[in-house]
Parts: sequence; C-alpha cells; structure tokens
Amino acid sequence: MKAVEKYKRMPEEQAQAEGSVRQMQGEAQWKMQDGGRQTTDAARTPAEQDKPYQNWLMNLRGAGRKKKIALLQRLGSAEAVYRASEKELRALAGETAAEKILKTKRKWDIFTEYERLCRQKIKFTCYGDSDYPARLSEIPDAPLGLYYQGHLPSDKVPSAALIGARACSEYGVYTAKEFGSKLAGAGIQIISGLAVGIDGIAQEAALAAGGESFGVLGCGVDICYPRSNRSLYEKCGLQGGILSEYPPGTKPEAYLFPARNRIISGLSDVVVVVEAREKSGTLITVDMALEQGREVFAVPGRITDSLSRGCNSLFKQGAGVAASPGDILEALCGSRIFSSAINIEETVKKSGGNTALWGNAAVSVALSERERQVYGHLEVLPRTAEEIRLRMDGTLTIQEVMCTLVELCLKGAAEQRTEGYCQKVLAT
Amino acid sequence: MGEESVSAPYPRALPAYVPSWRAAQKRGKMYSTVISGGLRGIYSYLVQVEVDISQGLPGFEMVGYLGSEVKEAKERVRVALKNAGFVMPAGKITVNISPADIPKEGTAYDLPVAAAVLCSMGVVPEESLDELLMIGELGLNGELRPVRGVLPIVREAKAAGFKRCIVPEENGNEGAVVEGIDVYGLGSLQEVAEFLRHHREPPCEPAYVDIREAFERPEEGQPDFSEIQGQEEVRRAAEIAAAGFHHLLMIGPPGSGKTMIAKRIPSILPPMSMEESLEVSTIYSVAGLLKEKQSLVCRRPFLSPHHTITEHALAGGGKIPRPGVLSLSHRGVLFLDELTEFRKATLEILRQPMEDKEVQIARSSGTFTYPASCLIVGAMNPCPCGYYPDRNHCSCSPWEIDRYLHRISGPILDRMDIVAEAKKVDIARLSDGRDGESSAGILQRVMKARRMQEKRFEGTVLSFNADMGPAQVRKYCPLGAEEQQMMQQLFASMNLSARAYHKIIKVARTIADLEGSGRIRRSHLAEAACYRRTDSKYWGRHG
Repeated sequence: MKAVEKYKRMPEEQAQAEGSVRQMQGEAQWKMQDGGRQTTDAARTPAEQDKPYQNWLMNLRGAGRKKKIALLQRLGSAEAVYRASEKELRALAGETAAEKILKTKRKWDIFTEYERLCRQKIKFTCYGDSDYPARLSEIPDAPLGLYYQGHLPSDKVPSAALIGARACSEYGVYTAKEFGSKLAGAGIQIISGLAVGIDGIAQEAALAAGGESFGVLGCGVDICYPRSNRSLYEKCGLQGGILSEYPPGTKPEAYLFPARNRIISGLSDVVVVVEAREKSGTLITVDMALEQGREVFAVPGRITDSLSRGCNSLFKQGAGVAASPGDILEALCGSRIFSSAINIEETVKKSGGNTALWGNAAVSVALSERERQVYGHLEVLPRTAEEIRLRMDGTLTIQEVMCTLVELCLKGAAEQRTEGYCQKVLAT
Repeated sequence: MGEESVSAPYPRALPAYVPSWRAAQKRGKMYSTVISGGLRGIYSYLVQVEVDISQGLPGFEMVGYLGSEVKEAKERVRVALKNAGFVMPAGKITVNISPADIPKEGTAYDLPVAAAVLCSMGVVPEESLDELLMIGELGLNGELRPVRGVLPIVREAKAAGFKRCIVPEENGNEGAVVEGIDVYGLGSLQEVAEFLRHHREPPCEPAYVDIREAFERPEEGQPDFSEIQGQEEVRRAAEIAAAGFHHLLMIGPPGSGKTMIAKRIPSILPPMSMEESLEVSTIYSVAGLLKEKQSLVCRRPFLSPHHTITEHALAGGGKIPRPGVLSLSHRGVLFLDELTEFRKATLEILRQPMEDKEVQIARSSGTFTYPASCLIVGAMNPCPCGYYPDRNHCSCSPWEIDRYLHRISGPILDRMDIVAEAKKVDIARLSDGRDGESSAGILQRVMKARRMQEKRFEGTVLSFNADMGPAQVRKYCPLGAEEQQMMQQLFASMNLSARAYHKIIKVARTIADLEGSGRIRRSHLAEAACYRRTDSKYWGRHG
C-alpha cells in the first residue's frame, strides 16, 4: 500500500518509468522462481503465462464485464490488453474506461498479486480459456472469469442446481437431503449457493453420498459465508469446488448475491427448486435459469404450506414436476448425451429397487407387536408422539408411545426431526 | 407496677416502685449482661449484651462492631425506657455487644440493651436473666416490634441449652415452633419488665402453635392439572420433575400452556417434611418474609420472578447478603418464564446452584452460603416469533433461531434434566371438553415415588433422585446387561456428555419409582432419553 501511495504522489512520467522497471523486475523474479522448479518459459502454456494479466483484468474497475470481454476478444489475451498502447485502448474502450485502465495499470503490481493468489491456493479461469466451463460461456452475461478452490465442474458430467429457501421446513430438509444424495449418488454434480437452508443441506447430502458438489459464492472464495457452514465449505473445497466471480477478499454484500445466482443456474443443466416462498431469491435464480434456457423443476409440497407457494406458482408457469430424484435423472438422460455418466443402476439398487429413487433400501429388523403398531402410524412428514397417541385412539399412554419411538429410532426404523418422528422404509 | 401503668403508653407519673440508680449503686450492682442472638446468613450465633452504668458525665455509648442501625438503638432505648415509665440514670452508660469482632446488624438488640440497663438499674433481678435469651426491636412508646431471624436464633438458643426466650409478640408463633424451649411473645417493654420481675411464676403462658394443624390445613384456590387439556408429553414431564425434583425446561409456541402447567406443579409436589419446612422457614425468617403470626412455611414455595430480575436479586445480595429468589424457592419451585428474555449474566448465575444446591456469596464482610435446592422450571419459545418449527407461521431465519436459542448457554441446558416440548394445541382438542387427569391422581403416583426415594436415601443427606452425584448413581441405579447395552447405544447415537448420561439414568430412576419398579428397565431409559433428545433437536439442528 505504501508503494501505491508513493506512486500517487510522483509526477506521471516518472511513475510510469519506475513502474515499468518494477514490473520488469517482478517479472524476472517470477520467472526465476519458476526456474527453480525447473520449468522453463517455453514449458509454460500461453494460457498460463497470461494468468497474472487476467487476474489484473478481473480486478480492474472502471470497465464493465462486457467491455472487458470485448477487449479480450479483440486483442487476443489479457497480456495484450495490458500492453496495449493508450491510443489503442482509447479506440477500443472509450475515453473514460481507457483512462481508468491506465491508472490501475500503474497501481497494480501484477506479479506480487498473482503470487499472493498462488500462495492462497486459489486458481482461476478466464473467459475463453480451455477450462472455462462450457455451460457458462453459453449464457448471455457470462462472467469474465471464475476464481475457485478445489476444481471446476466438469463439462462432461451432468449437473443439477438444487436451490430453495433458507428458512425451510422439515419437509424441505428431508426432500433436499433425498434429492442431494440420490442425484449425487448417480454421479450428478450438485451446484448450489452454499447457503443456510435447502442449499447447504442438499450439498451436505451430496457430499455425504460421495458425490461432487460446487458452491457458488457471492463473496471472495477465501471467505466462508455464512460462517455456520464452515465444515461444508471446507468439504466442498476438497470434494468439488468453491467458485466465485468476485476476486478473493471481496466481502459478502447483499447486492452481489443476485448476480451469483445466474452462475448457479448457468453451471447446471437443470434447476431443481426444493422449497420456496412466493417472493424469494430462489425465484430470481429460476428467472435467470429460464433466460439461460435451463430446464426448471420444482418439488411439489402441500398447497396449504406457505413454503410450497413458490413451487406451486412455478408449476403454473410450466415448470417440471420433480416428484422424485428419478424424474431429474430421466430429464438429464433424455436431454443430453450424459447417460453414460449417470450411474442409475447402482443408485436404484441402493434405493431398494425403487426406480423413482425415493427413500432408502428397506431395512429388515424384527419389531415387537407394539413397535409395529406405532410404526404403522409414522409417515414421511414428521408426527409428534402425542399425534400418534391420538391416532391410536389412546390405546397406549404417552410414555409408552415415547418409549416405543425411541426403540424404533435405535433400531433404525424411525428418525427424529425437530417436528417429531418420521418413518424410514422397512421390510416388514 | 399497677395494671393501668402497663397498658398506658405514656404514664404521667413515675411508678412508685422505680428505685433510683443510686440505690443500685449502693448495692454495688452496676454491671449486667443479657444474652441475645445475631444472624450471619441463615446461621445464628449468641451474643452477650453487656451494660455498665458508671459515674461520670451522663452519656450513652455503644461499642462492639455495630452497624448504624444497631448504634441507633441508644436513642430508641432511651426514649422507650422513659415512655415505659423508667427513669434513666444520670450516669455514663456503656454498652458492649460481644463478640466484638463480628459485624452486627439489625434492630433485634434494642430489647436486650434495654433489659440490661433495667437490670443494671436494679429494676429487674439479675437471676431473672439466667438461661434466658431475648430479641426485639423497641418503639419509642416502649412497644416491641417484630424482627428478622427469630426462628434460627431460637433454635440456636435451644441448642445452647437455654430454657426461655422473649421475642416480640408477632414473632411468638415463629419461635414456638422450636420444641423444648419456652418462647414468650411479649408486646411491650413494660410487659418484659413485669415478666422479669416475676420470672419464677411468669404472668403469661409461652406461645404455642399446632404444627400438625398448620401442615394439614388445606390450601384453597390452588389451580389443578385437570384444567389442562392435551399436552400429554409436558404433563408427563412435569410429573417426573415433581417426583424426582428434576429441573425442567419447556419449549413451545405461545399459548401452548407452558405457564399453566408450571403454575400447577406445586399441586403435585410431595408435601414438605418437618425438617424441610424448618429449613425453608429459617430462610424466610432471615429474609423477614414470614408473615405476622405465621409459624412455619408449610407449603413448598413457588416463585416466578419477572425476567428483568438482577443477578443480586436472584442469588442474594447486599453488603451483608440477604437470601435471593433462588434461596427463597429452596425446596420449592423457581419458575423462570420466558427464559430466553433473562439477561445472560443472570442466567449463568444458576450454574452453581443447579449443581451444588446452594449459593455462595462472597462480600467484604465474609462469605455467605444460602441453601438453594430448588426445582427450576424454565419456559421458552423456540424462536423469536415463537412458532418454529411450524413454517407456516414462522419465517425466522435459521440464524435468528440459532441466536435466540443460544441465549440459553450449553452449560445451563446441560443442567436441565428434562426438556419437554409443548405443541400447539388444536382447537378440536380444546373443545372436546375432556378434562385431563387431576392433580390428586398425579400426586398419588408422585407420593409413591417419594416413598421409594425416602426408603432409598434413608440415612443419607440426599432426599430426591435429582440430588444424586455420579457415585450415588452407580450405587443406587445399577443397570442390567440389557439396559447397559441400551445406554451404550443411546450414548453413541445421541452424542451424550457424561453429565447427560447420568441425568438420563437419574430421570429413568424416577420414572421407575413412579411405576413402583425397583429395577430400571429398558422402557424407563427410553422415556428418559426422550426428554434429552428434545434439546438436541433444537440446539443441535446443524450437528
């Protein structure tokens, strides 16, 4: 920072001269360091050589995304943009933008900044690079580049976005888990926003099922937001990726999030809405998905729940019905040549031969007569002990019902949720 | 002394019998001593009030590490003596309250000082003060006014072998509870003088209270459990809490009846034993909260402080600490409604008392220990709006819910033996008019459990299952092989702490007691585990 201030105060020409000397020194140093690792300049691909300049271009303020992409395409590489003469820039980007570009050029220490990025183990890809996700380059307002930790979603593997409300119900938690684990189990990449609620739960389930999941952030990839998702953030970085179009260090700001939603839908082949209220951020993502030509599915809920309204209004607009993870698989197999990547057979096997992929393989446990009775009153939607007692016409006391439920949980036949107990599939 | 002069507060003429102090001087009797009692926390100690009247410039001096209210006694005593018809000698009066190195407070020394002065004056015979303890505050007209701490002081006097006590009339019943010592409740200084002058055949009877009658007197207007419909789970939890004195936390939406249930818990608590009643009465006596003419606190206290309560009011405070709400609900229920609204620092105060069953307060004047073995009942909503997990009503964000729930810290939550969930009551259930079980029915089961616990803990300091420490759990709650295996399963699946592990066994013990079962069975453990699972449902949602 001090250096920057110093340059500010210097007369322009002197600064320019000194700046370029510094740049050259930095470049030499960078090459030397690299030389230590026995990589010669020739071994480096042109794309790699261009990275420090791309980083500069992405951090550049003063020119918009479209202008930057236009510059890149006209001049061929970020380095060319960097080295372009004032006249060229003025002609291509306009007066004010050129002025700003030249100004930041003087302040920005390309190699130090790039080194810092390497030290943080943050990679990035730029529009036009070979590893830039193909799906993303199709969308109308593709980001100039993506910073990422872990790796990028593969173009050859189908991907699905699982999105929904942050304040979700138990039903939403259940369905998000079910869709996340089943789709990931079938080899589909799960894209989402790493947020609290449906997003995070679906991703957690996908990772737990051994699949890959990618989180698109509305802040720098080095910042974990929300902080409560720390463990998911770390797991995602190892078993998938953390992505963001914003440079590292960018703080999470509310206005950045709607823009990241277009990347979530842009990276996916289908968008699945698990649970959403009528006016919500989730529906912004859906709008963007439709703009990008992605197929949108919604999970049906009860019409009485306010968290089902978003999905129900999507159905009215013609969204696909995601009644089970199988529906999504079917759509993915049909629309692209992904069928080979999708590992349906095994997933179906795990799901107990249930082709809709709903629920788990049946567990067979011996139940006592009373346990069987109580089990008969359990459902996917959680029920409280008291409700079950009422349904059984009070033949058991509340403590008997509670004991039986704990026994069922220990046997793996029931599960406890915040709202009550719910059933797991059993072979009886 | 004539009959009229006793009843007249301001006698116009000096009674003829008053000897001048010169007469006393001639007899060589200038020094006298009276035994009284002081308070330190709930404990009392005997003090000796010494008075000496000597020749010199007339004056009244009091020494002995006295608080300002004790020093003021000299004015009260002087005027009270005058108005009771006694002439203060024109000599130098020195009062010492011994032991002189313990700080004294309160107004109970007025009477002993006055009596010692009378004795020094030769008005009352010296031997009348033998084996006699007296306390009381004096009014300027010579009447005796009630004081704090009569019960512990009289008990101390009894223990020290005293035969008689003189206390203010209003405190008579309170002192009369102590058996083996005659407690006289007197109304004025004249009556005290009269009593001392005729100490061989006292002119009045010692105070008497029928303790059994006080215990058996039915309490009227108590709310009953039959008024609560539905909420089976919380009712059951309250029953277990009452039977084993387990701390109870209720979570539920507004209007689900948490407060109603808490208010009815006293109706299903086992009655207090005499010993417990004495403990509670002592605390109330020290706090000056025993009502006039009340002898004992015979019902378990139920206190429900507002959530704005300060730390000092909860634990006890003051320069010389008085018992706080925690101690006032000793052997009873301390109901903390809207638990999340209490200030965090206030709640954290509960940690030590919840575990050790007493409060220790250190002040510059020393460390005071007050018993605080109360049944803490908390009630709270699950989220700021109160309706989580009903997402149709509640749109609180997950971190709002988290922040709300985490106002209850882990250690406090861990100390709650039973966490029960109150559900929204549906209107169909309310209107079907079927009453719930009445308090009497529940109390029968609770009493059965109480008797089993009494038998179990005979000869120990413990009285309820909740009082057991880990060592006692091992001793009194052996588990069979099958039960042991279940606990292992639960331990692994619920991610229990060691404390929670013991709590489950303790609660299971109470459940078994309610059933009258000597052994803890699988079903008892399962039910006890249910009450520990609730908290992980809310607090461990992300875990």
